[in-house]
Amino acid sequence: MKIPVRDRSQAVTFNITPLIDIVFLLVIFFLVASHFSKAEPTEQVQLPTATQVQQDAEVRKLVITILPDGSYFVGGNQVQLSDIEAMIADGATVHAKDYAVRIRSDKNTPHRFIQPIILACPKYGVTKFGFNVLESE
Amino acid sequence: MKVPHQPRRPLDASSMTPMIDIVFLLLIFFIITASGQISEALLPADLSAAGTVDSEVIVPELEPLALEIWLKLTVNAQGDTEVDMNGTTYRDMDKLKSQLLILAELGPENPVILDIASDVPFGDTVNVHDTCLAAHFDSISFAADAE
Repeated sequence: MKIPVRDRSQAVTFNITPLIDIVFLLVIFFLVASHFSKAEPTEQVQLPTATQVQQDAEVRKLVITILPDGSYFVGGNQVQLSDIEAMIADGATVHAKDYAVRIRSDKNTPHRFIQPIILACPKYGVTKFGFNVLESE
Repeated sequence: MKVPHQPRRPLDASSMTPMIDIVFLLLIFFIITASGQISEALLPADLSAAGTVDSEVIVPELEPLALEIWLKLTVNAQGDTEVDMNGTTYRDMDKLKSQLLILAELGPENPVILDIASDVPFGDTVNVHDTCLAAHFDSISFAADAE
């Protein structure tokens, strides 16, 4: 049997450079995407400091940013107090046991803007509550 | 049988050098920018499922000897926050902290109730709550007017 001989000026080689290129690009993309997904868009606030802090391990949580003028933000969008209550009610219904609410408020915000949320949480059975703060040195 | 001879070209390492350069530059850039970001921490303030609002949870009766420690936060005429602890007013937070530490050592089971006036800044609320946590009180709760 005669095996056909193909004349090739160059041998067929597997070029891995573009492959690595794409893989690295994907790695960088996911690194950056995960970084920004953690740091959700939020308003700039001057957080208070505290000593008895811990890392927030809760996954299902509602982070409410409150500005000194009493405006509420969730996920970068301005919302009303009634919307927040609806969000707490929804979250408590879907994830009854592990739903948490976090207050991310400016240190100059009067308590009257925070109290309605403290009242709304136990109303819907949400007891996992906390304040976002900066760790004092 | 004649096996076709395939000359192999060695992997051109020089072509990967600029790519690796850029990849490392990007990695370093993102690592540095991520490390420069201020990380927020959590000050836990778990709420009781039962309180002034309606709840199906049955509240356990307090021990007969338990003393409720009421911390009433108000803002005085000068605009400073002062704390009334069971009738004694504290303007100096450090003095309040030392008193709370003594009380917690005597009876950490005594429930602490924070009654915060509507105009008290959030920073002072966190400060007092943090102090109560540092003193290791078993129960810290918020008082609120149910409307």
